[in-house]
Amino acid sequence: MDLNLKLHIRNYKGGPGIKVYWSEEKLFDKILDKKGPTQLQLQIPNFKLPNTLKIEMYNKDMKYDTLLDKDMNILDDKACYISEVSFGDISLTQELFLFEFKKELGDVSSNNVYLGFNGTFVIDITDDNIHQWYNGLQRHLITNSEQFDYEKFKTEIFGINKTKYSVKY
Amino acid sequence: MKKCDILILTCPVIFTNAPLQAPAILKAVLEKQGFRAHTYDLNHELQKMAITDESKHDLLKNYFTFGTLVNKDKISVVLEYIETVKYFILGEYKTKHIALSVFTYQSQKFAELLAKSIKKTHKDIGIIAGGQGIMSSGINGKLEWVEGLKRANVINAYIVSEGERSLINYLKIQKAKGLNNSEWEQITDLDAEPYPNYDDYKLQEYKSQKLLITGSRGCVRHCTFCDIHTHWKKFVWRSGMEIAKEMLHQSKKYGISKFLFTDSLINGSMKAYRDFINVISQHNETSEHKISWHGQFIVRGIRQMTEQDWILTKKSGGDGLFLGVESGSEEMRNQMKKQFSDQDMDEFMEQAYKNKVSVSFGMIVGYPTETHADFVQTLSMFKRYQKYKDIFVEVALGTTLSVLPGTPMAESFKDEMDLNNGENFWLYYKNPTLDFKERIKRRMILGEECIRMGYPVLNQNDDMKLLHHLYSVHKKNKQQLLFDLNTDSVNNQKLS
Repeated sequence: MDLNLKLHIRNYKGGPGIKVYWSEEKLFDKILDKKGPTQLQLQIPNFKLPNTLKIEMYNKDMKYDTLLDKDMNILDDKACYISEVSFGDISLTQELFLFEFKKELGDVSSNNVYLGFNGTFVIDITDDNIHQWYNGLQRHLITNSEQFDYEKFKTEIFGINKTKYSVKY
Repeated sequence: MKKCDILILTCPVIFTNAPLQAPAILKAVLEKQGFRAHTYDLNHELQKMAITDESKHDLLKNYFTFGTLVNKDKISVVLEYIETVKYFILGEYKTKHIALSVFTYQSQKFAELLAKSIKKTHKDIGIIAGGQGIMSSGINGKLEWVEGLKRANVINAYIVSEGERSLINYLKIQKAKGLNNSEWEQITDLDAEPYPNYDDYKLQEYKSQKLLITGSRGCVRHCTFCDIHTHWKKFVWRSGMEIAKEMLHQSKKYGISKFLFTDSLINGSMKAYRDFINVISQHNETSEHKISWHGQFIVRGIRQMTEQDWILTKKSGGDGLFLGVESGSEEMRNQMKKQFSDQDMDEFMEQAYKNKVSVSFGMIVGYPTETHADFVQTLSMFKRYQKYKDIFVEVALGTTLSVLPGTPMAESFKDEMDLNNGENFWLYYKNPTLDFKERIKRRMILGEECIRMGYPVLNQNDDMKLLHHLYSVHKKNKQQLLFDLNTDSVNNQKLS
């Protein structure tokens, strides 16, 4: 099974280390020191489901690897955004916000794809049919999403400044 | 411990406040044949948990419906629940067979987990799955899921479509039409079937205090967009007298006098319909326990459905007629083979209003040949009926037209249409301006205008959320995988 990860790297002080595991099998381990978007094209040799994909970030020193200004705003960082994870023809983008990031220090954050701490982002595929699992994920996302903005969608469909339609009937 | 030959379980997740009919029908036909059968509504038990332990209920419902868990560790809660259910039913019933009633594909997850758990410890119990939900992707969909369970020996057999004959034959000789194959045979004499038996149900616990009833199977019409005829080959109906008798019998036996018809249309046969409303009207005139009913209905003009029919419709307790109107354009409806004119519609609505019979409309936005002028006629129709808006229960506008495989429309347009990777994404070459974006635009306008005119629009927000998602898939030229959000509601099933 093709596994494709689209990441966005912030490489302050050398960039983060990224490990990718399928179950317990390590598929990738490297320091990603090039700033900006990067793509990891990997293969999962033994694609049995249900199973777990783990994306681990390491090599960050929380004391020194974030550049802050005097007001504590982050100017630069050693970090990684996960923008897309694809298993074959199935791509997870918005769906990624449903999964958890387990920080090395123990606490867990969800609704977050910005890995700013050492820790592991975990995608549990809880079904033995990946299409069925993906369908469920999408339904969950759409049904439970509170972020839907009708006006924004309407603008996309009608065009900017054209949402005040006029139909005579 | 109750001994029986077969225990029929209603599998969650289904959103309904009424007991489902299939297990009660099967119990009745099995007992008529001398088998001891019991039913148990596991869906209802899960629904009750929403009051006693809301967070656990939500977690379980979410997992059974979507297969998703935000926290994987919580799978233990799911598995523990399955074990509890298993040991409860096996502690209550000593049975040789268990039938799993799978109403929609959203009951598959639960059914599978329960069957696996039972087989782990009680290999000798035969498990058989049936119901529309054993199929995925539509009314005559694929059997992959249930065939997989059979191959893995998680279940012993499955039944496609009507279970009345097949289940009996399975118990008697392990052979039947529709048993482990799609070659099922439709029952043609519904009047010979016994009434559903709800003796095992705690009916007082169901919020709607309503029973389901079936007057016909199949449909008398051949609407071009509908796939019902790929499943029900014939339209078979019960006599009006028999329907009325069942209502009177059930209301007396169970003390429930509200009924929901599961039919594609109640007034498919006007003779049967007239007989039915005549008997029930007479009952309602004198009885303290007046019958009421609702369900899907065909629009008929005053020549087909007379003023007297309307008076008796009201007197018999008819209220909440769901009408597949689809379009305000007569030309569009003719092309869809709906077979009712604007005049029929006007007469129907006038009578419904006059007799205070409430209605709901089901609409289709964007039939392949729909022009802007046709769309405007739909808006005009709602404006025309604004004076009747007080009798509207809901207006279901849907998520624009899906081209379903196996429908007459899909067949007749196939050489002039590109499906573009999805049932919703199609483009008809002879009407190229009506692309998916334009259909969404019309759906938005219709939704906004109906709300502005004071109509109760059903699921407006969810429809828009789904369209938003589908549009994002369409923009990326990807395959449409999602067709609906929730089909766990009995009403959504009927509308889908």
